[in-house]
Amino acid sequence: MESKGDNQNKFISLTKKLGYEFRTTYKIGLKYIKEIFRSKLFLIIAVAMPAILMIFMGVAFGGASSSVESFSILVINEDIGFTNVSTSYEFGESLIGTLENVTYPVGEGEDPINIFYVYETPEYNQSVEDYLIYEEHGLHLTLIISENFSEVIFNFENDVIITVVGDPATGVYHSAVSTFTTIYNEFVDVTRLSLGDTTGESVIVENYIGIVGNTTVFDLMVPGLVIIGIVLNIVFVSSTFAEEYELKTLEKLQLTPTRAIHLIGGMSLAQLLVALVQIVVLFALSLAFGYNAIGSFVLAGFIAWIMSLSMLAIGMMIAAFAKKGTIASSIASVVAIPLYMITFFPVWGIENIPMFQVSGNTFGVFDILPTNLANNMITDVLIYGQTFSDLIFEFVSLIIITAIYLAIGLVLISVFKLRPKKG
Amino acid sequence: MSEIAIQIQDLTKVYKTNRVKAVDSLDLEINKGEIFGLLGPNGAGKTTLIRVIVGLLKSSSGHILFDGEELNINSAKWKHHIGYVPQETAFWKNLTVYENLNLIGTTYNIPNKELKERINHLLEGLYLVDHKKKLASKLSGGMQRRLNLAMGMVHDPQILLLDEVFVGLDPQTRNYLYDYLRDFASKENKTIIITSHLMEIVDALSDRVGILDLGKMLAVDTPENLKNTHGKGDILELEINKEFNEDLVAKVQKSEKDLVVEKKDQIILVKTLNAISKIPEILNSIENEGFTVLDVKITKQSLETVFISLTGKELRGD
Ligand SMILES: Nc1ncnc2c1ncn2[C@@H]1O[C@H](COP(=O)(O)OP(=O)(O)OP(=O)(O)O)[C@@H](O)[C@H]1O
Ligand SMILES: [Mg+2]
Repeated sequence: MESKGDNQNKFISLTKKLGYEFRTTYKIGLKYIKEIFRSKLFLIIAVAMPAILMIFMGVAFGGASSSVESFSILVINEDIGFTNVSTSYEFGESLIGTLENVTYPVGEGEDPINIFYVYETPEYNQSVEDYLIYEEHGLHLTLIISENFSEVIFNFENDVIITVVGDPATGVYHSAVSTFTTIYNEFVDVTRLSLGDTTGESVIVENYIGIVGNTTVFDLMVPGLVIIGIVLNIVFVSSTFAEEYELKTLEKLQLTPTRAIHLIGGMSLAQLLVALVQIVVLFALSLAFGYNAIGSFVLAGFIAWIMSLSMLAIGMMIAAFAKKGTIASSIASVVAIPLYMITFFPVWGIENIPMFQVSGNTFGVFDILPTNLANNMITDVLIYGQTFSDLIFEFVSLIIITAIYLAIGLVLISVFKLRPKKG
Repeated sequence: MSEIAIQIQDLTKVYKTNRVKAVDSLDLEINKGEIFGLLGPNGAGKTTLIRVIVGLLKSSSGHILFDGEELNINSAKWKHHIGYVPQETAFWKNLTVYENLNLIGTTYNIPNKELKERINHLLEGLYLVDHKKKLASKLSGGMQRRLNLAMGMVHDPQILLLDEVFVGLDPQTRNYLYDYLRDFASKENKTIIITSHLMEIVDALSDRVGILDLGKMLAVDTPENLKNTHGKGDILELEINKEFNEDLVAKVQKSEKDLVVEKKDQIILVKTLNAISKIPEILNSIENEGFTVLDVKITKQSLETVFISLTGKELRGD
């Protein structure tokens, strides 16, 4: 029988043990942070190099997105109207009229500025020409008014659905949609009110048509450039650790109760701090060069941050086999090449090879490389505005892959660097 | 009988890369509270033996018993028990002196306050206080050696293994270390295994000395006993004014009992126990033959002579 006191003692000793593990890991992390930030070489490799690359690409391919006062919209009016008794209604036409007449509020004596410039076309088939129209006119948005638009408005009972089509990669698209939404909602309310109704909702269906319009090559490159920066962390992680072996400081730790988990944990802390600096600097630079992102930078940064842990793991794997810091950094530079090349595969049109599917989500061969997974995820977030809930499968994959990498790194370091030497 | 700290049984270490048998079927018992001096020429296997004991090197065969049980080098108990100061210095260059020691101390789970006191105590003793905020890479060679030393002692181990720690230290620090080690062993009943090429220090410091060569222990005893059993006594060097003849050597040989006399140019070497008391007789016999003694040098019997007679090698040479 265990007494209460026994359990309490067990609890206290467990807390003490955990306290020790954290303190040791933290102190070793602090050591790596100090070492890394006190060495100038590190700053050049980890931050300056990717930053210069970002600036270079920004100058070559970037372009600031212009701020738009008026939105050009294409309206495809398929509304056939609705006749009740003898009165016929053309609510599609009325909506177009409303859109053409809304202006920005202006001061006295100034000419009013239209919010929308409206182009009309009676038919819409999702053909190449439509995209061309879209690009030629520098359109920000296309509205599709359905056949039964007037009927639905008149009959009250159903929601009124309208489809908007546009390129979410352009910042303008989003402000156009939100401006349109306000006006459209008011139009439906006012129209229904005039017919004697207060129920029903107006619904807007958004339809992404992919990347056209304002998206620059630079926009497509940004996630990859951030990832390249983080991939470079393999170099300093592996060389710092191999140097520890080379200069025999690892021996000093080997004699103490320090274990591989403390070393990897500590190095993770240091690496996460470095990655955070890189992520902030690189995204800030991308914005300065006119990155047209619409999604959450915090979410994108978080993805890159998790991914950075797998780079730490790869660095550890290299260090497990390298006897010198310089050898480790040479190997790391070579290993880094395929890792960041793969982030350009989507841009070059090279497709992933599916491995297996989990509830409709495909996991591909390239996804074994965390850089590939992270690159696609960041693109989904920043260019397509996807959120955490859209990317649960990818997040789970990324975390599992990263954990596997870390486990391999841990085992290799323990076996090849922390066991007594066979000599 | 005193308690045994470490018991080494039939220990062999062969380096795989070059098949060198650096430790060869070695048996040794180290007592608790003793200072054990390990002597041997370069390449004798001293460092190898120490590194096998602390667990940095894997032995090829044999046993090491600690507290009567097969040693588990990964046990927390053993790691807290031993302190090792390697022959080559190693420290984190980009950390300060204090940070280096603090990191090591933390991994031993020493409470912050106690750790701070211990570090400061060590820094004072090793004359590093004024340098504690310096980056280790900015220290002079001797200071680096002192830091290296402190790093092996910061956790207050029961058994301390020191590999050539007196090298490169100034006399002040050497004295401090000497006193520290004496106190450490006698007052706190701790065990020290030390290698050094500085015979006088090993002689004065050690309770027992082991002489190692080619991985084998040639002799283990107290310095006194070693000198009495293996030493050929003191050495007297007499420089005379002219080339001598065999006659003279024979005369000197006869002047006293138990002398070994050799000649070397204008120098006569006399090996004998307790040489000082025999000097007048020897000088007499030389001057009676019409020679003048220009210089007299006496080398007292030392571990060095024991060492040379056992290994046939000068300690400092190869
Ligand atoms: N890492 C190694 N690989 C192969 N052989 C080694 C290694 N280290 C030492 N040796 C060999 O093992 C033998 C013993 O070397 P060790 O370093 O133990 O001697 P030592 O007594 O400490 O010498 P010193 O007085 O020079 O420090 C030597 O012949 C040496 O060449
Ligand atoms: Mg040695």
